[in-house]
Amino acid sequence: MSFRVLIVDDSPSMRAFIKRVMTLSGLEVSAHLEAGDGQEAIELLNREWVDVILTDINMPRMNGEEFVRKLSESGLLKTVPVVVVSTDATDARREHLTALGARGYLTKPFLPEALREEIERVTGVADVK
Amino acid sequence: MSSETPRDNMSDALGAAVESVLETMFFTMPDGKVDLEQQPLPVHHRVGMTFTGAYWGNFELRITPDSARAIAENFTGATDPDELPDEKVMEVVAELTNMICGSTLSHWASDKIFSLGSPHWIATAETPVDQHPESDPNKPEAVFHGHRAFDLGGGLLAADIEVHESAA
Repeated sequence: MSFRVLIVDDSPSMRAFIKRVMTLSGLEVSAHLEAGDGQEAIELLNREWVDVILTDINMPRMNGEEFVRKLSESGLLKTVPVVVVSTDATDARREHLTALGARGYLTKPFLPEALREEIERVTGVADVK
Repeated sequence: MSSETPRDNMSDALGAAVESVLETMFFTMPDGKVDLEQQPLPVHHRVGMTFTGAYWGNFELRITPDSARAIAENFTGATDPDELPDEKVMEVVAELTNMICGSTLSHWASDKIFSLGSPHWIATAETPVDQHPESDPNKPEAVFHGHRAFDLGGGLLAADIEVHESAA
């Protein structure tokens, strides 16, 4: 399966790194879309369709927590899974984001394989393999 | 101390975070630890960031310019110097700072929630810097300190963290 992926992170370098790592991991990606914060991502999602969203937590304007909450309120989380990609590995943060509706949580640093496995798991591709 | 969970040694947590972040995200393995008393840090960049939450404090990363560029090349995959201007190197060093700080705190106190500030540049190699982080005489004394310095093969990286307990 080939994925349309939205990467939400205020760091252009991190967005570029995630794109690179997805390629290194062997994940088939048909489209990379990018946003610098939650607000920009929501505007983009009004006109683009994606299979999975990868989002950071600490961002200006609209942080990852607020972004996940907005997606949940709009009902989009029912069809598009969100994976939080963050340096914050605390149990408390992970549980909080999961309770808000995030389906995956990946902590930096992470291996390319871990990113691929998490995307495949939340999209259900791992189940049909 | 009011924390519920025993805390690991702060310097050990910091050192483990530096090694893990460098190896996994920057494809770089430190050659070993360095004692800055014996081997002072040459001209370097300095990036700092603060954090709040159950504990609050500040983190600082110092890195020599050649090492900064080398890790930025590894992170971005850029091979042409034109693809990697100094601003891009600085952006990657800021990201490195963010990752090491977040990783250190998460593993040191995984049962707590922290809010990380944005990394900010204190000085670049082109501006004069002190050999050690500035000390503010009015700042309360930190409860926990962590320090580690590493030889990156041709350059050095040093990280320092000061942690204070937040009022209940």
